[in-house]
This record gives sequence, structure tokens and C-alpha cells, in this order.
Amino acid sequence: MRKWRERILVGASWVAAFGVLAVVGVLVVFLVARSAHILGPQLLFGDVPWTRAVFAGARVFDGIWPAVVGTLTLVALSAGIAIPLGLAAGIHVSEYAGPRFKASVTLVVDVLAGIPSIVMGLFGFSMILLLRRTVAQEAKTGLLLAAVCIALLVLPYMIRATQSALAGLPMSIRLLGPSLGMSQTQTLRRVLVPAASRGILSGAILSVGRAAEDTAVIMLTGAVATAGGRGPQDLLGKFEALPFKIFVIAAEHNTAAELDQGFGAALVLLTLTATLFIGAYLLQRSLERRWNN
Amino acid sequence: MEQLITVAGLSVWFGDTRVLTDVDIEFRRGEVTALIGPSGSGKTTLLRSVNRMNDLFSGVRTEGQVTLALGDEAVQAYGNGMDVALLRRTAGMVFQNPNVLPASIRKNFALPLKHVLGLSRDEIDERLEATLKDVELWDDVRDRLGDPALTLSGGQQQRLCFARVLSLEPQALLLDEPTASLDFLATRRIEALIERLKGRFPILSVSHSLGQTSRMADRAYVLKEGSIVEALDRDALHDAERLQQLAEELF
Repeated sequence: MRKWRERILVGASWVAAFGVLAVVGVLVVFLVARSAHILGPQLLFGDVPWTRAVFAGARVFDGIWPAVVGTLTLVALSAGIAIPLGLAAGIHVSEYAGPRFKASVTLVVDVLAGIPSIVMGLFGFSMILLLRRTVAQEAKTGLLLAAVCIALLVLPYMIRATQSALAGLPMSIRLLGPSLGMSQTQTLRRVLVPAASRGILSGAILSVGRAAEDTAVIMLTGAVATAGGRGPQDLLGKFEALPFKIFVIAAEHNTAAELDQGFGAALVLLTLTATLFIGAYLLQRSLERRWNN
Repeated sequence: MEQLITVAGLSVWFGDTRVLTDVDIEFRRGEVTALIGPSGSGKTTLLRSVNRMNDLFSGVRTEGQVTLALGDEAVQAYGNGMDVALLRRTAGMVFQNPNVLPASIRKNFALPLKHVLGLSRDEIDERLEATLKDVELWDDVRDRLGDPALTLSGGQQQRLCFARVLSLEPQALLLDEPTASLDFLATRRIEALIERLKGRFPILSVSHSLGQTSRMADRAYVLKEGSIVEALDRDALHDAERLQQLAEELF
């Protein structure tokens, strides 16, 4: 009886593991099948030669290139805000905060993690309304606002990942630095953070992935269907982004060919996040090598 | 001048729990002094009170005196204005499990020299060779200093830890069961190393084994429930009957 139970459990875990692979496989195959005939420079740049679009800033109205640039910029900006902030907050909570402060920050981080992204979008939108009624009557939604709201959205992942990676370090590693005469800051910087880097980086990867795919926040804070055929031109301007582009195409397409462009855009977004993940993995490897030497 | 560390009237509390009660011990250069006793008797706490590692835990309170007479003048470990980082370098500590970082052999060794002493790469390399020879590790690792330290055997890792502490030029050694996780041969090599080091500075060592204490120690203190119940000299440590009796009492 017991043996059977064990077999069923093992079988179920195999099925679950292959299930994940199968779902991802089916998704990718489906996307490729639907968009295979339009994959190529045409999908990204329309009829504009790619060199002119990429280097000369030529406007692209039929391709998704402006949305690709928009998403990359948005991810870079929000990661630039959320990663240092989350790292610092996680370090503070784990290493310096007293028990009472730690408990309240943990609660706040949990609440923040539970906020649906549409609510975060509404928050950004109402901030603009507030600004318009008070100090800045010209204020409008745009790239910077979207990046700040996305950063707020992913901040809890980063804080939590940093905090738990540091908290998971064994006592022996914590005692090592002081026993060698290192100060608290030296121990943190030279021993604890490097030893926890894997966990911290996985938080950063999660944040970047979430920042790239979120649609609800940006549709309320500055993303538009077409922004003059170019990537973002300034921090306060409107911008295109891939998830929003996909949403617009899916909602408003007139022909099957248009919808196929949406599938193509989805495949590009998937490739983009996969590339970011691989980049993060390579970064981690080189950081570990640097720490080694 | 004699090099001597004296612990007098030491009591330590963790929160409301009193871990050590009015402990008096001393250990000097030329001898290995062992702390023995059942687990939970306060051996590690006593060891860590010498270099103030207990201060790292919250809710710790220490009373009493630890006096280090190692150079021209005696200093109080718990005195006003004590530089705790300097104290911890002066009384170097080796832990129970080899405390190596998941980094290269060289990096493990160089970390405190670079960041605590601020030595240059050349100075570090010089100390690296000299100290690794001192602990008889140089021949094993000279060609693979860039390899991860975790690829070394347990005994080699522990000797690397000894080297890392010795490279900071301590004036006393605190050992927390340094052979507890090692096999027979590795244990014997570490014991031989300790034997050689005891002529250089005072050594206080927590031991889990009466056999080892009898082999190595010149003096031993027996701890029970936070108090010293007995001090053993060399003769007592070699008295088989006495040790048998002690083993039955303690464990």
C-alpha cells in the first residue's frame, strides 16, 4: 500500500515536471505556427530598412520596433529604480532593523506584493490628477511615471529576495567576518552579500521579467498604441510597449493578418524576456568569477 | 615576558538565561589549555567571551574581566575604548567546521589581508606562501590557488582556515573544536600543527574528546552548567583512572 502511494507520488511529480515543459512547448509552438509567415525584419520594421530605423531614427509605423525599444527602456528605467532600492531595503530589514520595525516592514512589503497591477496603474493615474490640480497643471502620464509605478510593483520581489537570501546564510558565515576583524560594513559587503548573490539575483530576474510583461500599469500611465513611429524620445513623453501593443492588436484587429502580427509581437516579447534572463545569468556567472579572483 | 590571558569573575547572560557563572581561568604561551564539559555547559560562550564574539548576538550581557597580557602592557578586553576588531585579530579564532567561503583558495586567504590590513597584492602573495608553508598546505595547493576552496578536503580546508587566521599575525589562538568534523588522519595533522603553535602564543581550545584533551592539552578546565568545576593539570590528564571517572561524570 505504502509502496503504491510512493509510486503514485513519484509519478505525479514526473507528470507535473513534464506538464510545465509541455505547456511552455505548446505555447511556443503555437506562437511560432501562427506567426511563422510574418517573422522577419518586416514584423519589426515594416517597409523601413532596419539600419535606418535603428541608427537614423527613421519612423516605423507598420512594425513593432518602437514598442521593442519602449519596453527595453521601460524595463531598464524601472529596474534601475527598483533593484538598488529593493537591495538596500532588503539589507536594512535583514541586517540592521530591530524586530518591531522588521515586522512592520514585512507587513508593508506583503501588502505591496498583494496590490493588483491595475490598482498600481490607477495609483499612478491619480497621482497625475493630483499634480494637475495642485502644483503642475501641465502634468501628464508618460514614461517616467510608468517606470516609477512598475518599480513599485516589482519592489517587493526584490526586497523579499534580498531579505530571505541574507537570512538564509548560516551562522558560521555570519561569524566569519567579525572573527577576522572585519567591520560590520566590510562583513556585509565582502562576505554576506556575495554569499547571498544567487538569491538576490534571482529576485532581480523576477523583477525584470515582471516589469517587461506588465500591461495594466502602463496602459493607465502613459503607454499608447502609436507614439510617432519611434521609441521613447524623452522621459515625460508617451511611449509604445510590447504588452500594450499586443493588447491593442488583440482587441482591435480587423483581419486575421493583423492578429498574426499580435502573435509575432508576443513571440518577440517572449524572446526579449528570455534574452534578459540569459543576460542576467551571464552577469551572475561573471560576478561569481570576479568574486573568486 | 610571560604571555598570559586571564578570565576573572566572568558571567554571561543570553537574555534572562545565565550561561556562565563567575568563571575564572587562565591560559598562557607554551601550553594548550582545553575546555571540556557536556554540551550546553558554556564552553563555546566562554571561548567567545575572550574575543568578544558574544557581542554579535542580541541580548547578551557580560560581567567580569578578560585581561590580555601579551605585549608590554596588559589590556582589558571589556575595557573602555577597546578596539573590538583589533581584539578579534589579536585573539584569532578557528571554528568547528572549516569556515571557507565559496570562493577560490587565494580569495579565502586574501580577504582579511586586503580589506582589514589593506595589504598590496605582492605583500599578500608573500604572506600567502609563508603562511601556507607554515600550516603545511603550500605543496598541496601551490598550483591551484585559483580553484574553489570547497574542492579541498576537510582537513585541508581547516588548515586553510588556520592559515587565514595566522596571516593576521595573532598573539593568541581560540579554537572551537577544530577537529570535530575531521577524520583520524586529518585530526592528527591539525593536532601536530597546534602542538607547534603553542610555543608561539597562548592557545585555548574547546574539545569534544577526552582522548584528544589527554593527548594534547597541558591543562584543562571542566565546565558544568556554566561553572568551572575542576582544573586538571598535566598529571591528572595522564591519569587513566581519573579520566575514566571524569568521562562517566560528564557524558
